[in-house]
Amino acid sequence: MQQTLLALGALLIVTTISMNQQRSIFMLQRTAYVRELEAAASDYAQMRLSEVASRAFDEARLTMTTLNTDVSDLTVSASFGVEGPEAAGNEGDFDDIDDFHGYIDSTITHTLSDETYRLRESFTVEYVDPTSPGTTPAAGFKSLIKVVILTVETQEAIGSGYVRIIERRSIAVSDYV
Amino acid sequence: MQVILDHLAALIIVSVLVLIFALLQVRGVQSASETTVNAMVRGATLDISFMLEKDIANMRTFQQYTDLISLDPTLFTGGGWNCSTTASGDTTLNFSFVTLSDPYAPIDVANPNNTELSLVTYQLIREPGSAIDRQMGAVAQTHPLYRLQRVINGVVTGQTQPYVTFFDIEFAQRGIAAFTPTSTTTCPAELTRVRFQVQMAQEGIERIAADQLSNSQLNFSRYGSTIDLPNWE
Repeated sequence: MQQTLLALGALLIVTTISMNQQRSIFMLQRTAYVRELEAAASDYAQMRLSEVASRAFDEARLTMTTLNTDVSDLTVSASFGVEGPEAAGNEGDFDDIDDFHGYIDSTITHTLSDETYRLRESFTVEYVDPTSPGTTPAAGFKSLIKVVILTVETQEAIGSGYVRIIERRSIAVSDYV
Repeated sequence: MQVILDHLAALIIVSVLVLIFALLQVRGVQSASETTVNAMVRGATLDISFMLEKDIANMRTFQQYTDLISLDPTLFTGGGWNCSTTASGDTTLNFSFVTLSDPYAPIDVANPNNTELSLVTYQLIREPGSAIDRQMGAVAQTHPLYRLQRVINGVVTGQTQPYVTFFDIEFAQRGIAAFTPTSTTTCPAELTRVRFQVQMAQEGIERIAADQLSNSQLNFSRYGSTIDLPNWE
């Protein structure tokens, strides 16, 4: 009886140590995996903002070839998003920067070679008040600078929800040709 | 013998416990080694990527380098050196362009054409017969291995270890948002952005026993970046 109890105690200790060891190994791998995901998300955000910034500054500037400092014809921030025949979920229709406002894409598979990273992106576009950058300007404010804020989220595990905000990056775009 | 038989159960249990502890120790050492290798490969990936990033940011336009030729024609011979690529599938094999000789030197604003330029080529060199297996659960993938080397004016000035599995250059030109892979051999005339991706494999521990098979799901390290080229506008 005494030996049996000792054996059970020993097995309990070994089991505890073994589980802690496995948890430690898992955490090491998870850290490395998340680091790669962060690098992929950062790379993706940089590429996407570069693509977005290459579009026209505003719907009213699509055909304009010279600098126009008059802001009266620019889109009001409350109307940011798609206009006219542009479809909200169809990026191919977007022709200016603020079309991306509110755009969310949950189907991104950022692929490199045979690696696939599952990401979700969401965009916010705001005017920038040059006298008070970093704050959200009042409704109706217009300027020749817009900021595009891109948030990239990822899944912590395959099949789980997009809960981890892994990259938030912005780019300021001036209205010049 | 009598003593052994009296304590047979205890001896079996002790043997099993010792075996379990030994396996845990091996696993711990393996995990620590993989973590170290992971960090080393990550560092190597970033080293070559930051160098390439800096070279691309300093890329000179055709006009800028032809201006230099008019000053010193002996610097460049051969033509077609401003920006060109060769590729195999989606993997870039050669990427050549003219850049600043000293990536960190300031440009002489008063005499920008006096800035010393060099032809830099990033070449992907296949390691003959070399490949790496990646174990993803029950699936094994085999990747060819390359060295990525940086060649300045025909002289190899640096290279990675032969663990590169993927290298890709993509271009975007004025008025077109999307990046296109390097299926063409020359850069677009109105090049505005260059994007690159590098992936390196991590060398695993030599498998001696069944228990030493790596259980890591992460055997690659990658880096990608997009560089704007305002002076090409």
